[in-house]
Amino acid sequence: MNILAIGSKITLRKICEEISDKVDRINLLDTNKNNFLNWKLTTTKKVNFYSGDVKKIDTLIRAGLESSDIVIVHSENDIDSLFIAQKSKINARIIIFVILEDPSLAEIYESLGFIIFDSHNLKITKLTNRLGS
Amino acid sequence: MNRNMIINGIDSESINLYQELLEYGFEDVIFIDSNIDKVKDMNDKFSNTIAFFGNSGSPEFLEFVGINRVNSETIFIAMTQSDSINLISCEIAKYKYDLKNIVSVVNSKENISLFNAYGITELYFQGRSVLELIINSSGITLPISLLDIRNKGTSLWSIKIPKDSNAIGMDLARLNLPFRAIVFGKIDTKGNPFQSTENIDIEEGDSILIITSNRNEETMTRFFQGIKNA
Repeated sequence: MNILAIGSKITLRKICEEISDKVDRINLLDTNKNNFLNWKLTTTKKVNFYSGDVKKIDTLIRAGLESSDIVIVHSENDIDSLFIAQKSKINARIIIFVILEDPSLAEIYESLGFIIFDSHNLKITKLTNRLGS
Repeated sequence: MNRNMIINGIDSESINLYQELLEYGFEDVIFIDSNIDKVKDMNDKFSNTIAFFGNSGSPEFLEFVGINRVNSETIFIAMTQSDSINLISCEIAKYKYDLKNIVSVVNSKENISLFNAYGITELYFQGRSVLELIINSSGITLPISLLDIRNKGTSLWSIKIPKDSNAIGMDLARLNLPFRAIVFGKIDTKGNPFQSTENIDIEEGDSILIITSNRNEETMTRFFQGIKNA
């Protein structure tokens, strides 16, 4: 499985560290590559780093969106995370996980086909189940 | 039923819009913005206007400003310079509060199809006319929306056939588009109209008239471009 993770918050770091041995590739994308400097994953060969305007489709494609099976988004705020998630939904095959600060938005976006995680109560079973199957 | 309006985003354009709305008899209008200075300025300058500071991505805040007011039909207008704020606030209005009257500004052309895909179809693209002029003069032809079919996300489009278009030489009556559309016909360079049932070749400079969904705009552009411009 190929993963594209967008953002550099600690939640995303924890998720990526937890799943790194279960996936083929993790591409990390944020506005600045320096945001990943203290990530343990920097020593792993299957991890690649990208930077740019994360709201632009060109940046997402350059970071490997088209060959990704799973996209995980936790950007600066919920609005940006949800916008990027929707922009990343370029085909029906890609599974998109969004980490939100405000769980009151979860219902709307789950009905639109996104899988929502609560940043304050992070349980990633839905993600690990996908990787296991 | 009463009508109240929420305008998301304070700038010169939204203020102009507000003043025009007053002339049309809309009085129950409030502004929201995430920039506290803009909100303060607005409340200082206009004594009859109320502006609120807050996050338009928060349902709690939107409820506070009256998005689900009882016995009132809310009209939601997103006019910020951020497409992410415009899209998400409109989606909350549409999917959580079931509003029927939602209008949004789109700042970047690449996001128009995204708004359409998620059902936000009453759109105003800021740079459209200028962009079309520049792009069309550089040899690439963009479809021009002549008529928006309200609340359907569908338009009547005109697309001018450029020099290297793959469509040149195709029979108008047998034009096989890779998306669902009604082809009305063409207007040639001399202004003569031809129905889509006529067996006539498409030529450089012809304008083809098509009704199709706004989400097909990019596909339509690619279909009619030449190899060099594709």
